Amino acid sequence: MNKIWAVIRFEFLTFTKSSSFIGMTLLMVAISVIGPTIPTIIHLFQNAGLTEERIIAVVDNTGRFDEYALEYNLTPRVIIYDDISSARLAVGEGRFSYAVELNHYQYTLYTTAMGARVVNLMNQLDNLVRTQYQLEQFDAMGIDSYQVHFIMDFEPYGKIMTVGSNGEVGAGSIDDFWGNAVFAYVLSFMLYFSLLTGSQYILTSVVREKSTKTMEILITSCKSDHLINGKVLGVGAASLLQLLLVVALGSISLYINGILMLARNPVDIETLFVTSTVPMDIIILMLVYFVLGFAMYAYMQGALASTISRMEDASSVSGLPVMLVVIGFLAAMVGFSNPNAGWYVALSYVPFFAPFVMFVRICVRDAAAWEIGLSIATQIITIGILAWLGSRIYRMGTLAYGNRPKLKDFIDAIK
Amino acid sequence: MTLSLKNICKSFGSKQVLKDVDFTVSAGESLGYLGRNGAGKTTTIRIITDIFRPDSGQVLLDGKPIDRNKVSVGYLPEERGLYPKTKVGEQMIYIGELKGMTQADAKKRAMQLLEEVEGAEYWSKKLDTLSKGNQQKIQLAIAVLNDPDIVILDEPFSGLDPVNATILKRLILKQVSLGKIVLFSSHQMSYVEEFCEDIVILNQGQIVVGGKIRDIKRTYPRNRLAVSPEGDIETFLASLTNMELWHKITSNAALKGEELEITLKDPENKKDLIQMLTALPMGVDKIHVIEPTLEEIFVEKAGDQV
Repeated sequence: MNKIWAVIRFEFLTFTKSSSFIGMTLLMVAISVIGPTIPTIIHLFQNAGLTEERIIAVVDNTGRFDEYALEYNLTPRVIIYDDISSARLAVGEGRFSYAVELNHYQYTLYTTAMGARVVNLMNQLDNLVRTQYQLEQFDAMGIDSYQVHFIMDFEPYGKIMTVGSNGEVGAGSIDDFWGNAVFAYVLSFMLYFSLLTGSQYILTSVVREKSTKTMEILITSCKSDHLINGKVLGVGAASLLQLLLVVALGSISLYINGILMLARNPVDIETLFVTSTVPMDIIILMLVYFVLGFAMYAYMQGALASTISRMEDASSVSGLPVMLVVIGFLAAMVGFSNPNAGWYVALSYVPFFAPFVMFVRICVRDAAAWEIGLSIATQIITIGILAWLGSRIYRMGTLAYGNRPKLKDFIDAIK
Repeated sequence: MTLSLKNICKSFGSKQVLKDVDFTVSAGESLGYLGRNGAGKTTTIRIITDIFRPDSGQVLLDGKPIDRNKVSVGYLPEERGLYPKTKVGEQMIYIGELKGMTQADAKKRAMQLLEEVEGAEYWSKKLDTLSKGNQQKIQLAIAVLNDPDIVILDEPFSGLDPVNATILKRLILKQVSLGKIVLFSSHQMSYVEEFCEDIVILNQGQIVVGGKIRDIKRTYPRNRLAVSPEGDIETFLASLTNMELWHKITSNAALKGEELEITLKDPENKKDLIQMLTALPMGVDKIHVIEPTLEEIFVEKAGDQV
């Protein structure tokens, strides 16, 4: 037990001191902390006048629009102008972002360049003109403005609830879906990077021990089972710590920025996402799926790495595990919009893809408890098989230098 | 304590690597385990260290099957290396722990061994900043880190300068004097003669010669003699060849520096030769029997496939 503990501690410390671990941790922490902070940063810049203020010069030829209505309906700051040619010149010189000439039930928008913001502004102008038209029509019909607003400002209330296979209404709602969908994306990325970084480190670590001939000393000092199990556990613990750090700091950032955004704008759609807290069950299951996924890929990488002796050959053996990780991740992302599709559900039970696909299904509340249990069970069985196979191949592979072992050698080693 | 290999056989696929390998080495002795590349030395060592299991035969300690949980083995492999980017002290402690030591004991012993190999200043240095010779000293120190009962050294002196070789020699001799079982493999026969009283020569997986070096040498005919005359060696040789008996008892004579190497037809002719030498007017400084060198024995026994 002391020997395996020594391997775990050595691998943990070596991995956490490596540049790949430090670099990836800093990158993931930066993304998780800065991501939720972006709206706050933009807001601070806007308040400090450091971002470009968009101004629209409006020439109202109809005389129907007062400044209040314009400011209420349009995002850019509004300045009333009398003369459209002066307004256009101001846009051309860059003093204003847009100029608009309002006529009877029509308008012309002037800008220096097209873009998404222009399309958005056109929608706002459409609504402005349409509302004005409707108000005038209601007025002509003798309906007063109070009644008009009573009718037009009606807000329907609707929600979507998820239903399990037994027809019972689940806990999920549409708000949960969108909030959790964002987390599923973000957390899947983290899972993907952590799995790839950790399992690739196992590969390079084993190959380095072979290429530097350290393996000869190691295998005569303790059993090869201790070496591969200690390596998987040590690197796995470091990767788990990395993930916990990223999730914890990201959650704190999300919480703080949520409070700040709520104080600024309680109804903004962005606020809905940022003020959502990651449900604890999702975080726990993410860690569970990370541990299971890591163990599967790490044993696979360790065993395959032991069959080569040179770092140059590493890419030739890492292809299969990396491909499985990438396929799992891409499949999870591709099927994201329809998580209860047959192929998606089937894929979520495949052990190598479950850490991504089943995890996304969990995030969007598509997976029943028994399905989660089944996928965890299949992964644990797979880990057991891979650990057994891996330690035998590792034992044979660590002593093989020169020619790569053949399939027959693997079969002999397994026997 | 004695380590015995009894009729060890090992095959990889259809290739038989070891055939009935059988030898014994006792505590406080050093056995030279010799053979050409591919003879089966490393496979034997891996069987002793329990990396491989033999197909048949046994590894015995004091006559009983070896229990590797009760006996410790220190091994310096020929293909050796350590973590190049890790500090010397750190990796010595790590390997000490892998060998079953506590962290504190491993640290204490590692520092003591570094002192012995005159490498204490390397404790906090990364391995790849050290010269090859100094790395080798660290590796030998690691091999004996856990004070093993059995020490197996595979080419410990390859690539070492004379100063570092002397330091390592001291450490190895200390192991022998401490009563360890030392198995020593090298192609540098001078070192083998220096450390080992006993040798085993392996050829194509089979032991072709084994025993005490002195006894092995005595099995060779003692018909070669070296004579150092007091005067001019060519005059001395001419005087000998003019004697009638010379041609009857010798088969060859050659000048080797200040010595005349004489091969007798029969070792029994030594007395005749000495009578001839005493009859000469020129005196003799030194006369001795030339024994075969270990290198000659090795080439003869292991070099048949050259």
